[in-house]
Amino acid sequence: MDKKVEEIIKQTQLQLTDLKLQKPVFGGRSGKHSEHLQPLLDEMSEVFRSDPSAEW
Amino acid sequence: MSDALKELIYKIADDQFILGHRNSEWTGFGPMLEEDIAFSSMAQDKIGHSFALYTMLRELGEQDPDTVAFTRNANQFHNCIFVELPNGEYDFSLVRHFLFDTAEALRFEMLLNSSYEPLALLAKKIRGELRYHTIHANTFLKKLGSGTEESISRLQKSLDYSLPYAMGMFEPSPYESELISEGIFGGEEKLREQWTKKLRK
Amino acid sequence: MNTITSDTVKEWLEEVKDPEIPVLSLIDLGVITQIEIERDVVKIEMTPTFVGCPAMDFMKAEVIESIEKRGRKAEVEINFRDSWSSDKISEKGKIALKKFGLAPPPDSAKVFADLEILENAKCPRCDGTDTELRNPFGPTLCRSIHYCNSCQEAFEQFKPV
Repeated sequence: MDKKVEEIIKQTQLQLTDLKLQKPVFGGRSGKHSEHLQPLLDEMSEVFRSDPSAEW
Repeated sequence: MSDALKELIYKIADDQFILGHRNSEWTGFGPMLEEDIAFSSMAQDKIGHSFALYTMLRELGEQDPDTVAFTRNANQFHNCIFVELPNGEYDFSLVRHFLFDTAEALRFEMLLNSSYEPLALLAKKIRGELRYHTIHANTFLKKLGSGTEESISRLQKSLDYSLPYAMGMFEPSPYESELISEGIFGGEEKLREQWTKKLRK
Repeated sequence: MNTITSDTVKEWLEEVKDPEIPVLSLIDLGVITQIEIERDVVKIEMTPTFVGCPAMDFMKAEVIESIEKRGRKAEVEINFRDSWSSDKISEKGKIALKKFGLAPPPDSAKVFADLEILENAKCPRCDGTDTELRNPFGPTLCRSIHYCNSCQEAFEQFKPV
């Protein structure tokens, strides 16, 4: 089995704050993204879009 | 069942694809050569995993992997917001890698029992590869999490910042009950519980 | 045409090597998972070492070439039905790896049970285990980087997976 994350964190000097107090950032699964995604996609697909029929 | 299955495969594939790209942005910029190689290798693994999943989607009637990967707009992607955040400094990339890959390893562990056979077969394969990603994350988190005052405070800050986004990995799908009752996937709630247990145990 | 069996095809495919490790045939690497003969068509199933292996298409093309030049038709399918593990590398293949200077992979089950197996890989030069894992990621997806304290040199291991 994987080493438990808590086990790893315990071996460090890091503190894990209470997960129940966290407000999850949802939206991505239904296509509501941060402003960071579109620029990433533009960059990643630049070569493909310049000639979609190109063969390697 | 087909819509539920597709949505599940899309979100897993998109997570791999987007984080794979983020990882690749470390190529040539890693804080040390070995980390440069590690993030580049993980990028290659993750893009490969997304390709295998997009190929599976094509069998289910979706378009070919390149079209799916490169022609959709942001609002057609199903990845969680956590994976699309910019790399920032190395501390954030490391913490995200640690939190995400722990969850991802558990997700594929659950998928070993999927009633959709192609997914179960692929999970068996991917699980072994992810083992190296979690080993890497654990090693570096331990090193830097007990390193210098600066490395500890940087990681702590990134951990605190990351947790709400990390919880967003488990955003429930509209098809949860169907996926669970059909035995395709045990569900986000169960995954989150296992992940939390890993954090809290 | 002469009758051929899957063993004949295996012999043919001995000439097709892993493009990154030219001493290892695809048969010894263990990526050919099924060979079936139907009249003059050779049906082959292959599986990648790593899902993101960039050499897969190249290896597939070489397999087809090897069969077609002997006057048979080839149909090659890539799938995960019998997915690859480093345990699929033959004994002959492991010896070839070691000669090539790459430490052969230990039993893959141990990766899940005992991380020591990665920390103290056997050096392919001196066979010593006074070694350290330097990086679980190496120059290709299937290799990790280690350091031998006895030889005082780095070496690579074919990853157990």
